[in-house]
Parts: sequence; C-alpha cells; structure tokens
Amino acid sequence: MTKWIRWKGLIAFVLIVGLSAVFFIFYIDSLIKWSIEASGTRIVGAKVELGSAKFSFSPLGVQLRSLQVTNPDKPMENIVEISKIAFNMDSGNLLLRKVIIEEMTVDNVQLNTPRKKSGALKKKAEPAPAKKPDATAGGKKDEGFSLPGVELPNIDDIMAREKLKTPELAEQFKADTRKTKQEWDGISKQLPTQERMDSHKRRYDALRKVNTKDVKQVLAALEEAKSLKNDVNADIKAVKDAKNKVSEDVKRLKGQLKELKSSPKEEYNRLLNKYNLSEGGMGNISQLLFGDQAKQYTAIGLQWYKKLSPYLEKLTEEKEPEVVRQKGLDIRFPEKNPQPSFLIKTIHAGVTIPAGKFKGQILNISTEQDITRKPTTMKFSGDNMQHGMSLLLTGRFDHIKPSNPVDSLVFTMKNYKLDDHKLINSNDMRVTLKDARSDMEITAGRSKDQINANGKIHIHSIQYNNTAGGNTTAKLVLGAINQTRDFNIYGKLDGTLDNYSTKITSDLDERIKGNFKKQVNAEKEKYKQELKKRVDLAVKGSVDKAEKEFEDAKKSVEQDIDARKAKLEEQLASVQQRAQDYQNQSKAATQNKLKDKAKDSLKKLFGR
Amino acid sequence: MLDPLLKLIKALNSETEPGQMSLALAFSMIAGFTPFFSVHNILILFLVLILRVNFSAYLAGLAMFSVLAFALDPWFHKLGHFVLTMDSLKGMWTTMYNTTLWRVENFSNTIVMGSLLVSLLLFIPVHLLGKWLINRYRDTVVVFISKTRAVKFLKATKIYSLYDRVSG
Repeated sequence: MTKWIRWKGLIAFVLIVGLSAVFFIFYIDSLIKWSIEASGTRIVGAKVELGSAKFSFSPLGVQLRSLQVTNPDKPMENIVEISKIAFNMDSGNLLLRKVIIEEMTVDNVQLNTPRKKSGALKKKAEPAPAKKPDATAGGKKDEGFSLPGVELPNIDDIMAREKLKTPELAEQFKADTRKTKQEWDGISKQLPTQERMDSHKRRYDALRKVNTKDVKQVLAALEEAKSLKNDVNADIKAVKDAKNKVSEDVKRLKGQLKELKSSPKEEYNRLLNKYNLSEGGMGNISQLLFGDQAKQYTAIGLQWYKKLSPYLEKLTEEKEPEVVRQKGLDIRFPEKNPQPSFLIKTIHAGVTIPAGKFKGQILNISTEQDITRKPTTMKFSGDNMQHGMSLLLTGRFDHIKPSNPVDSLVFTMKNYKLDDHKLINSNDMRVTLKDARSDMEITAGRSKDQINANGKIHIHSIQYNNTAGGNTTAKLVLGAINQTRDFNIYGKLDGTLDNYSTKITSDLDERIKGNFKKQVNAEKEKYKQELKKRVDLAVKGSVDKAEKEFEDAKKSVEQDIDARKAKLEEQLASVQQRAQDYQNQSKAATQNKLKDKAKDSLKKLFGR
Repeated sequence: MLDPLLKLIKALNSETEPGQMSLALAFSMIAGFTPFFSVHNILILFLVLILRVNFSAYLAGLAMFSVLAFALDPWFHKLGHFVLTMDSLKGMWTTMYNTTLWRVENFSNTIVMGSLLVSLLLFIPVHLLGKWLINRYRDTVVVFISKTRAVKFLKATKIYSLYDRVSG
C-alpha cells in the first residue's frame, strides 16, 4: 500500500494550495478591479475604469473607488462617475453562488463629467451603421431648423419694373384743363366787355342828370332806365350762362382731379396686391427646436434601459445556453430558503450635479424578483439645491411576473436653471436661453413590450442672448422669439422598445406664431409706408402741377366772371333804383297834375 | 511544454509501473473534461500528488483532455441537462441542491454534471485501457525500435552512454 502513497506529494499539495491562497489574497483586489472593468466595458460598449478595489474578508465586503463609466456616444465624457461604492456580502450565500448585499453605499455620483483620455474602445472593424428606428411621428425626416418663408420684395425693383399710370393721368388732366381753359377764354371774349359796362355807366350817369320836375324828361328817363335795365340783365344772363358753363367744366375737371389724386393710392394698392407679402407656415416649431434633443434623450434613455433591463429580468424560458468551455446551464431546484442569485436590498446613493446634491435609495435590485416577490423601487429627492431648485424621482420596476413586466418612472423638477442653453444655432440665427428656469414633469411606463412616456416642461423667466443674420425672416422669427417669455413643451412617446414614436408639441408654436405675425405685420406696415412714399414721390409732382394748372385756370376765369357779374349786378341795382325813382316821380307828377286839373275844374264850377 | 511530453515518452519507455501512468491519465481526464475551477479538481490534484501516479502523464493527459473537452462540451451539456432534468432523480438533486458542499461543487450546471458523469464512467475503462496500451507499447513498439540498426548504432556511440549516465 505504501508503494502507492507519495508523502512528498502532500507537502506539494499544501504548497500549491497555500501559494494559490496567498496569490488570491494578494491579487484579489486586482482581480475584482479587472473583472469589473472587463464586464462593465462589455456591457456599456465603452471603457469602464476603476481607481481601486479593496476586498475584505471580515466582514466580507468590497470597496470600490473612483469608478468611471465612459459615455459610448461621447468618449471624452463619463456618463457617470462615482467616488466610492462600498458593500458587504453574505458569505454563507456566496458559497451557494448567491450575491446577497444587505446594504450598499454609493457616494458622490456625478453625471457627465469630462475625461482626460478617450474612453472609446478600439474597434475591430467598422460595421455598417445600423439603421436606427425613426423616432419622429409619421417617419418624417428631420431637416433641421429651417426658417419660414416671408417674402418682402425689393421696392427699388418694383418701382423700376412697374409703369405707374398716375403721371399719364396727370398729363391727360393737364391737357383737358388747357383745352377747357381755351374754351373759357372764348367765353370770356363773348362776355360784356369793360367798354360795354362803361357805356352802361355813361347811360346811367345821363339818367341821373334828368330834371325831375320835368315830367316829360322823367318819363323819357324812365324809358331809358328800363332799356338800360334790360341791357344789363341781358349781360348778366350772359355772364351767368358763362359761369354755369365754367361751373360745369370745373365740376368735371374736379372729378378728374379727384380721380387723379386718388390714383397713387390705387397704384399702391395694385402693387401691394400684385406683390403679395406672403408669410410661410411656421410649421411645428417645437419639433424643429426640441425634436432632435428629445429624440436624442429618448434614444439614450431607452438604450440604457435596454442595457440594464436584462439585469432586472429572469429568462422567461430556458433558452439554449451558450455552450462554450466552462459554461452551461444552471438547473435550479426548489430551495428550502429561496434566495435570488443576485440581490441588493438597499442602495444609499448621493448624486452631485452642477445644481447641487440630491440623494435617495434604491431597494431590492434583483435579477429574480419572482423569488424576492419584491419589485425594485427607487426614490431620489433634492430640496435645498441651488437657485431654489428641487427634484423628485420615483421609480418602480415590477418584474415579479417575468412574462408581464410593469415599470413606471415619475420625475418632477422645479426651478431648474438653464444657463446659456442653445436652442438654435444655425447660420441664420443663434437663439440662446441666457438665463431661464424650467419646471419639468415626466412620467414613463412599460407594460410587457409597450412603452409610453408623457412629459411637460414649463420654461419660464427667460432672458435671451440672441443674434440673427441679415436675413429678414430670421430677424422676424428672432423678434417673435424675443417676445416669448415663457412656454410649455409637451412630449409623448408610444410604441415598443424597438419601434417607438415621439411627438413633441409646444405652445411655443402658437406664441411664436402670434408674435411672428405681429412682427410680420409691423414689417409689412413699414414696407407699405415705404412703398406708398415711393409711389407718392413718383407721381406727386405731376399731380400737383396738373392741379395747380387747373386751379389757376379756374381761379382766373371765375374771378373774371365774378367781377363782371358783380359789376353788372351793381349797375343793374343802380339802374333799377333809378328807374324806380323815376317811376315814383312820374307817378307823383301825374297825380299832382291830376290834382291841379281837379282844382281848376272845381274853381270853374263854383265860379270863384 | 515539451518537457512534460519528453518526460512522458521517457516514462513510457522506462520501467515506470504502467498502472501509475494509466491512473494519472484517468485522473487527468476528470480534470480535463470538467471545468478547471471546480471543487472536485482540488481533490483530483490532491490524489495525483499524494498517490504515486506519474505526474508527467497527468499533465500531458490534462492538456489532451482539456483540448478534447472543447469539442465535447455540447455533448456534456446535453447529457448533463438530461440527467439533471430526469424526474426520477429530482428528489436527489433537490436534496443535494440544498446542501452547501454540493452547491459549491456546482453540480447543477449541465456541463459540470455531464463532463463529470462521463469522466467518472470512463475512469476505470480509461485506467484499464491505458494500462493495457502501455504494456502493448512496451512489448511491441519499444522492442521493435530497440532492435533497429539505427538505435543499436546510436546506443553504441559514446554520446549515448554519456547521455545515459547524465540522465540517470
């Protein structure tokens, strides 16, 4: 029997086991560090680095320091950086290949921190870019921010291109005025001349020299006065006829002048109608402004959800295992005291973001909720953050029935300060929220394969730092945005994890559209004024000249006629008065004569 | 790498007990077929070291069976899955599953179970077959080679006698 025993072998065994144990003790920290970095890198798809790992036997625990997880989409940025992670494990369960952590502390979690070196992985071969699901409703292609069309034609071009009718009308009017004036001149020549009126005066003066005591003379003067009166009346009628003719002409010409004067306005209206100042549709501004960002955040969120959700799910069916060396399938049997393979009962975490710190708890993280019968829940809150900011994040990931996972997440945040947040950065314009506050409320859920999310963000107390290029439309849009001091953004997501659609709406659309319309109207008004000024300038000289020519002609003929008429009417009045006097005197003389005759007859009769 | 192989050839050609060599091969089959970091492999190592088995044969066999295991893993998985899911054995597996030692052994893994079962079933046959093959090798191949002129010439040289003295 002793022939088969090799006692030196016992020493060798003890040495091998002992050296292995020493190696394990000395290198366990490095092994943990390496395994976390390797598995983390595999899961994330970018470098996961750990400053140090420290393993302790009693109590059985691990302390990790300076964990950096690279953002796979931004290799110079860590998506998360954690100063310290510390936890103790249940050694008895560990022997049963179960990692049960009662309590884990995660200190100083920071998001989106810069990296000194790129965390990108060296790619073996450049794969063809996978077609990402279209995240916009209706599968519309994102064409970036495009300004709505607002056409304001160049006034110089219009004035050069368009023939104005007003100067032509003015020339026609002037010609008509001249022709009419010639007619008036002809009429004037037909009117009683000064000589004729002087002759009337001489005849009238002769009437005044009549001896009123001489009845014969009075009667003759009376006849002459009547004749003079008829002559003056005839002259006055001629003057009146002339005046009527002139009045008619003036009325006609005035009508034409009115038309001529209104012609610039008609010309201006015609040009406005022809060169219509159209404003293009503003479209869905919210989708343009925030659609990209929303898609990006949604894609990132779901990408991480998809990466992490397998760690909350138990395989619903026993799939064919990956049959490679050292692997296989662990068949499970009923346990007296069932425990999941992995469970963290409580995580206390403190997160630091630029706006301050918040902290919270995550409870019951396990791959086998059907065993723990408890969903993973979390609650994070921060109240006394900078600028009065507060936030609350609650979540519940119920995978107790692996075939029917139900997840929900509610995030509310108040007074989040936005500093120099770029909304638009295009060639035409740059819109930056220099200072603004936002209140946010997002709810998200998953039931089986269906996912949905609703969000509302109220951006308020906005101060802009905006610039626009020379483009008129850009200036108008910018003016509209500048007047918008608060707005709401609404987001909606529906679908499955691999095929979902997002829709972003906002009352910003209406507000900007309203303000944009005001801006466009103001600009239109300015444009109209300028066009009117230019049309007026182009036609005013000819219209004014035509008007002046008409007024001069009218004034001249009217003055002439009125003067003649006045003189004749004066003469008529005098002659009428003189004729009346002579008629009265003639009547009185006749009465006296009759009276004397009567006296004489009476004397003869009574013989005195 | 070559050193254990040369030692194995030397052992094959020496007066080493064939049973010690074939037992080493049988042990190496268990360690080679089953996942390396298994608790039972510590026991195998202990046995290989404490029992007077040929360590070179063990190392050479370990290398050979480990390579072979890559090809056999899918079959080990199928066998292990079949055995572990047999209703008639469920009670036994459940009892073992609730025992720390067996859980540490990770018997409920299909590849561990399949490969361990195969290597245990083949342990005696491999041991006996190995012993028989070594004897046959020594009786035929070694005798035949030693009778060749080239070997006779080589053994007659001073270099061989010097090597024989140095190597012991």
